[in-house]
Amino acid sequence: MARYHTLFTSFELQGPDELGIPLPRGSSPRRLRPFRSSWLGRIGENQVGPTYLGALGLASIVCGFIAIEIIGLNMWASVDWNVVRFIKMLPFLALEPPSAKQGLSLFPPLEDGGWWLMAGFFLTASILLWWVRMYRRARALGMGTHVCWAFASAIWLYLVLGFIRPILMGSWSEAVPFGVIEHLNWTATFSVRYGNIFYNPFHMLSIVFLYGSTMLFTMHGGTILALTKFGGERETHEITDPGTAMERGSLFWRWTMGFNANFDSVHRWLFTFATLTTLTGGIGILMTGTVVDNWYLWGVKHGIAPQYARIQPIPDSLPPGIMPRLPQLDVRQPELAR
Amino acid sequence: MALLSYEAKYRVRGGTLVGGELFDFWVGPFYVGFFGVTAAASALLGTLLIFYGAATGPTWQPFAITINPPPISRGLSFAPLQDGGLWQWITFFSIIAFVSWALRQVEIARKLGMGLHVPIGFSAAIFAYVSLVVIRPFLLGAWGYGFPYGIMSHLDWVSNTGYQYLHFHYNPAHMLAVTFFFTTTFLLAMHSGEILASAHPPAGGRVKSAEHESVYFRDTIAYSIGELGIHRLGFFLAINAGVWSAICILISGTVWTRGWPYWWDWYLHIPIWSAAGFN
Amino acid sequence: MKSITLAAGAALLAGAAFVLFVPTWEHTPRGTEMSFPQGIQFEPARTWLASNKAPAPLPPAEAGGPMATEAYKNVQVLTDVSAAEFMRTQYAITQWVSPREGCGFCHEGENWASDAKPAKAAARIMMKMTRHLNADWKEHVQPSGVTCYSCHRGQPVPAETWFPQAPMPQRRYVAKRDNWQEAADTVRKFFPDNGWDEWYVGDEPIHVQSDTALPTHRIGAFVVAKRVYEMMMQYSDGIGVNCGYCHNSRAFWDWDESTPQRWTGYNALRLVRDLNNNFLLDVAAAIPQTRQLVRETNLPVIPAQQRGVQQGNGLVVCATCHQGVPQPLNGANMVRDYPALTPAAATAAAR
Repeated sequence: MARYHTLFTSFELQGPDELGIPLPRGSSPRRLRPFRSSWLGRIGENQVGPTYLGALGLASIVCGFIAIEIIGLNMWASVDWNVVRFIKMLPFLALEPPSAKQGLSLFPPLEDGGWWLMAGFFLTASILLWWVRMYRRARALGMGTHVCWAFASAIWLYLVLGFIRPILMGSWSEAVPFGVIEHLNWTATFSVRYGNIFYNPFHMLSIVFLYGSTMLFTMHGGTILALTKFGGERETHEITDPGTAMERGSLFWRWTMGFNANFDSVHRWLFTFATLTTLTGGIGILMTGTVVDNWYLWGVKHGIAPQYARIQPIPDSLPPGIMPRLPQLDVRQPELAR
Repeated sequence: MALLSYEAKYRVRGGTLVGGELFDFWVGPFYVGFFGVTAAASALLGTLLIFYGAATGPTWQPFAITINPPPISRGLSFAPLQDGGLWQWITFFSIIAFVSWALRQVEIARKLGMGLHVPIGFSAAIFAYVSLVVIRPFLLGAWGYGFPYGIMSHLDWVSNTGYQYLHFHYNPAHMLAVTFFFTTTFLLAMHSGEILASAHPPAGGRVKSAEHESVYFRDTIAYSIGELGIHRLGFFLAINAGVWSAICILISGTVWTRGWPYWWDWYLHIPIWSAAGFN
Repeated sequence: MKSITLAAGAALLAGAAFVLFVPTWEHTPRGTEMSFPQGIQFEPARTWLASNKAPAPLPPAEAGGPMATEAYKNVQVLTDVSAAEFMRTQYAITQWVSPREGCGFCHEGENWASDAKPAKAAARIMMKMTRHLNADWKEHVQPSGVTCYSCHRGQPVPAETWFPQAPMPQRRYVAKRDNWQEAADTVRKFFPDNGWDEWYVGDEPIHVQSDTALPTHRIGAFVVAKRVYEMMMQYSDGIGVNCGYCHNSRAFWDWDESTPQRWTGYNALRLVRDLNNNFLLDVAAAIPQTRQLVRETNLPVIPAQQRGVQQGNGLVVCATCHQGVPQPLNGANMVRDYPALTPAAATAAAR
């Protein structure tokens, strides 16, 4: 019978709890008594906790809680505090940003985006505090701060969407609403309003890095799982003291595509792709509406839009005023021979 | 080309699926094998056909070059080269190339005594591609439903196909696929950042290992899935991203033809709402 | 281990069964080629009324005879037809609009000339509207033409109408909300539809995409783009097609990349505005509470929360007449058999 020991742990280790390495002086003690879950143990470690709370963590959680409460209570209030209605409508409810007439006002009326601004403030505070906490925990353990910088790249996208771009556009109303369906509607409308976001080169890059990250995780995860019988998952060991796992993994890709990373450099590739996803995505959003207003026309201007055979002539009788007088773009070439 | 210092002892015969020892050799760093030959040949043919299509097309602007599938009116028949036939041949050769590549990975994995995880992961991506250009067009009854091969034209296709269902974000499988993509990338950032942080501590620090990695994530988010677990999870999520992408387009037009928002009608009809006194 | 496997298996099966059986899946329609990138025209997924088939015409009226104005009192709209054609048309209208209620839906007792019932005033406006459509909107309604049945389909109130919404009640200190139509039983009607009156009644330009690559001037607010999206979904549902029927989605605004159907659709918006402003608002004034006249329980009754500034009848949108197909009644030509509904034809027939 096949045993999928590379995919699932088939026997579970029980032993003394790992309480973590000592923290530097002045740190608060770790909280949360460790407990074990054999469900988690099937794919990873079975121990949950202990964890470090500290002042930053506490402040971040409190801010996050306030933000969620503001969003949730506003949603609940908008259905007249009816519990069933709240549950039914939850996917569709939203906390909307201020309307356009409020501009960048810091204190719009509560019912017109005031709550949104407050929720955004607390959510941002929570995220930034969490970032500092990630940084300080890494330093407390004497480690590099790479995770924090990857996190910072995601925060960049978040800030562009809800803070930097609205400021450049001069109106909070340009920001994303908090809500399940409403943020999807916002996304689709955003693409339509700015003339097809697919023509935004930074959106293209972001998608490339998103798909690339997923592809790289399949490649990397697959390689490591395929090497478990040689101890391939002990990556930092293989970096400092390369063994047969590193050799086989390297040769696998060398023989496949003529090039290989090693156990250290592959993580640089992964890190680069993952962080560039949100970094380029943020740049693409930031440029939309601020320096480019219609990405399709931008694409036409730079000659990247393909030509398709014309469908049928449009009636000559288009009355004046039905459409903006579009610039006559001299980009069309003879119809494709079909 | 020089071998890596440790490479010679791994270059052994055997492990092939097809062709015995005939193609069991290396060219420079590349392993060849039977599937190396088929992959190279079909990739070359497909690429040349793309260049041929571009040469007969109206433009050499790389973003604007497009090889279009046959018009829908041709159904599932063979099309003349200049009316989608090129697209059909390129599709044929690309599938041969992709599948050969996966099988060649199997041979290499067998040579190195490794598991088959990488080719299995790659087949999820192949499945997504085949879904788009073979399975769905076949189910809808015309090759014309496949996507055109071109940098911008395939984006135009994605856009138009999305708007055929009014708002594609409401496709439940699309929701899942996007979630898998984002989560995979999120975890990838955490994992790679963590390994780099461990292997590259601040100046003067000692290189860390698994214990520190686990403690870092336990300290910050109460749980560390562990060295093996993160690769299992990432592999699982990444494959799901591909598979659900394939599903989300396979169900569009075959078992659902209206706007995707309206698929959610069932949500409004759950008897709980009326039972709880709310319409 | 065993129990876990069983539990996981059962959960998987339950999940699969849910996905297969709870949502309503559909079978494949055959797509028709529209354009490149190719578009599938939607088959109407469900007929909104019992059928999209036109009823058989009544036997033709005898030629000649006195004019309706000579034979009957108080004839104000159908002044150009013979008395026989007039009566035939009246019978047909009863079949089309109020088959259950009969003549009494508009007429007061035996006094046919009486204008006591408000519905009669509404019927006159509607008749004028039909003749206006057949005479002045040929580009949109030819060749099939329009009769009362095009929209009414045997009901006093057409199945698909639209009510300008009163804004959602805004309470102090609580965030504003979108007016999802919570009472709707299909997501098709669930989306917010406030703001449509800017286009279905008013003549605001639908101009949400910038016409220059770089920002030079302000285009409408973001929320307007959202409303336009929702309104365009109504367009699509109403005529049972998708966005690709008219547009190349890579540049929605570009007439050069649009199909000729877009012109028909654009024309239709002006038609809808015309009808709403010049006829439907008058009907609302004539019968402010249509709902009270409707005794049948199966007829559409407008929930209280959907009553907006316009208390009575709804306004027309694409769906009112199209009811989910690109050509209402699948293109059946009914007006050919009823010359009274086309002014020029009526005059010619009476001569």
